[in-house]
Amino acid sequence: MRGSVLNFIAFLLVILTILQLVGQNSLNLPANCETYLLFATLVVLLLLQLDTFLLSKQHVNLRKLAGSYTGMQTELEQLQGKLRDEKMHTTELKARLNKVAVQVEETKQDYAQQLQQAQAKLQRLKNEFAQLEQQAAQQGATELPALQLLSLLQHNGRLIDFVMEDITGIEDQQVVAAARVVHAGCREVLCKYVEIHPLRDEEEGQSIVAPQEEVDRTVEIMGEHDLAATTTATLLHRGWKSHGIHLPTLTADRQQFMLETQVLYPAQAEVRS
Amino acid sequence: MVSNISPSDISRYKHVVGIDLGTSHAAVSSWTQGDTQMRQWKIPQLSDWGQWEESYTLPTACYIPSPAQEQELRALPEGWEPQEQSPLVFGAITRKLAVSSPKRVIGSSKSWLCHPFAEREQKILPWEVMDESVPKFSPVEVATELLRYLKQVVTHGLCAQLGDALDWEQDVYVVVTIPASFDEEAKKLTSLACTQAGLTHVRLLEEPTAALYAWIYRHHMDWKKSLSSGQTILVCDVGGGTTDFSLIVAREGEHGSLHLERAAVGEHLLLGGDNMDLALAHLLQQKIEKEQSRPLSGAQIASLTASARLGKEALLSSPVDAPNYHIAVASVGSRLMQKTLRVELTPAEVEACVLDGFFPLVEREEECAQDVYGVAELGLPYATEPRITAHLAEFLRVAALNCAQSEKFADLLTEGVLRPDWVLFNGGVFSAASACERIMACLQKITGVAGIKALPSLRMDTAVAEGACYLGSALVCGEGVRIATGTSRSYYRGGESSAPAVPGVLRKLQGICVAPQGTEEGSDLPPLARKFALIAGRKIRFRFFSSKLRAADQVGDLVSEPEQHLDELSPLEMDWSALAEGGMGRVPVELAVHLSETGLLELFFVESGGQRRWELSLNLRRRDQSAFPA
Repeated sequence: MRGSVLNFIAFLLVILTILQLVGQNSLNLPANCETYLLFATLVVLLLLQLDTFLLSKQHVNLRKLAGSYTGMQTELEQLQGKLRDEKMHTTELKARLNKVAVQVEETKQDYAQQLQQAQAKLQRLKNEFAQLEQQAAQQGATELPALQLLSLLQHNGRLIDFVMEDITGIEDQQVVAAARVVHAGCREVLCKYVEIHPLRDEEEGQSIVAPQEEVDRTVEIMGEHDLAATTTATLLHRGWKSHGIHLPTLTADRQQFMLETQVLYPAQAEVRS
Repeated sequence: MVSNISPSDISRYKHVVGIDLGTSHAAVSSWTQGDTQMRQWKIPQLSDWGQWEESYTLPTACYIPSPAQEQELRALPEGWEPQEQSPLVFGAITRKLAVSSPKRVIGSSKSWLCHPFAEREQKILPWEVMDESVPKFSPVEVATELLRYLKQVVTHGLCAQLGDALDWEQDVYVVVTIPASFDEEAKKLTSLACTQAGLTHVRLLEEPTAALYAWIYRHHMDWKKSLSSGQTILVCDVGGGTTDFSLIVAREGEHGSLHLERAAVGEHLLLGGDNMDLALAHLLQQKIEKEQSRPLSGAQIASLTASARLGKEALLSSPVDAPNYHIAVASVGSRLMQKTLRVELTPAEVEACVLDGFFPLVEREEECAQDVYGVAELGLPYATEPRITAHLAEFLRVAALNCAQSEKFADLLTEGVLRPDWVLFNGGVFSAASACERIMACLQKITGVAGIKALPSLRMDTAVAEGACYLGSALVCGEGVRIATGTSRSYYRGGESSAPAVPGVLRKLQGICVAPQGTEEGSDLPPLARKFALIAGRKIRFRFFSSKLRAADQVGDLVSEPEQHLDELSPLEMDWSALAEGGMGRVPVELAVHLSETGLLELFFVESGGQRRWELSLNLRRRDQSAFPA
């Protein structure tokens, strides 16, 4: 563009010069201007040459750019190839992941099942434990008062010592002495903690009316007895009755100790100072 | 301090609690406004390791647990009311622990409370135990803990009954019994224990009087039929560890009604049923050890003493020709039949040891044996004379001397002798009929007349608490029978007689009566004519005396040589230096005396013409050590 304008100006200047030279100043230009015109033409031509030089320089640059463009395109193609590879790899991974997920799900279900089983088992064990505990409590409830009463009879009346000792070869006097300890102590315990009363008010040896009902088990009848008719019987034993047992209250700790160790009477030892 | 209440607002109390603070056992009863009956409380207590029971009486002995035992001794059965923390363990278990670890058991703390020479506010119990692992307690602390325990029993019981909290400060009036022979100091310490235990409104009552109140309560319909005006009742109270006598007279009142008045109280005697059991046990021990060489173990001696008590009760209640009482002392080990020791107690032995030893027939002029040793050990001042009847003879003699001086009681004497018409027995010893019979026979011999009768006896172990509760309810209701008591002693302050100063001659000490006998609770006494001046920075100190023999003395009367004629108490002190009031050099004051509703003697300096007053207090620690018996 710039070249064309310069060419045109140069052409105009050449024409003008020629005209000047040829036309004999037909254009009324000042005389001797042809020198200036020629000079201007020369300048324009010089500029034209300079422009052409610059242009060729630009051309070289452009070629370089085209070359680098081509390189980049190749690189792009390479990258695209790589991307394709990666995509394939991802698909593969995805497939594997899916597989794993399936596996996890399966395991999960497995575990849930196991957990359920374990829970069921725990519940079963819990129930069993509760049952055992209840049994223990029941056993304690029946066993504890028995242990406690035995312990009281031993503590106060030495009953267990008396009964467990070998009585053979011991003189009656000594048995009586020991019996006094047992009698006094056990009597105290029974009178204090059990309301014991004779069952019948009549004296032994007196006649009583034999019960006519089979359900009355408070009197044991010895001998033949016609339930239909009213019969009298001789009272052999007045019988005994408890009107209530009021054992001392034990602390939880003591109860546990008694049930666990079953100790009726602790061993005793003395420190001599 | 225990508050003073006027008779008008006493009716505001909703509940009355009677506490028998015995030497060996305590009991508690209560009455609620609107009730016709009193309630005797069963006291929950530890009876063995981890074993709890309820009983109407609580042994007053207590146990100091070791750190290892603490948890087990503090544990309660499920559902039982939690208890306040106490460093001491009470309950029937102490009997057992006294055998296995005697060092940690505090026995007769109440006897220490009235021991005149012991430092009663100091941690001195268990006495003579040097083991540093055993913490010590003062007699007042032990009494405080015991009262706290009983207070809890009533709190739990009444709260359950009312379904509401119990306000001790507002609603409860407490009557606590003490031996008639308690001196001013012991009364003050008992009152202090009550205050520390959180009992705010307290009245002290003498045990023999309480026993008579209990008798009146039991026979409230017809008691007046038994008594007539001018008749006297001898209350003979022999407990486990103490003996207490009182004489009460019935008088015709204004409208022909009968009222009662206490005329005399006896000395403080540490002598009782336990002494008899120990005497018998000692006799039995000697019999056993004669036959076998090995000495008895502590547990065996304890068992022997318990058996001796049963044997004593059985033989004293049976005819003279009763068979021997067989006693077996169980073996220590498990071989019961082989190792048990046998011994017999014969009726003759019991008669000789108990009846002749403790209840012999004595003459009117029988003297009590005095301490024969020059120096008494500072243990408990147990009575040297074991004959209860000799103490009775002395009581009647001393009471007669005192009555002879009094206008009120002079008519009770016949030929200079007091002749009670009735006897009221109280205490476990008298469950044996022959002990009562001996007392009656002895009274006949002493007084020289037949026909003294015994009032029907009461339920022994709870009678005193019941009587205390009766008095409380009578005060709150403003009706019922009152036995006029007042102070059993007259009180004197020491002062110098006015005489010109002579070098080398000490001015003579005089006793000046500040409160006569029979001063009623809640009354103010006329001030003495003598004026004093309090001087800033100086301590005020008076010697203080009392007498139970001078019924005639009135306020202001002088007694010369008070050391000989009167009993000296701890000095009265006031630290005026602590009350440094700006610019007050001298304050003119008068001495005023007031007997509080609780029954405590209170002495004040009252500013002459002014409003201010300062209390003088008994200094229990500064008793003159020269007064130590020698």
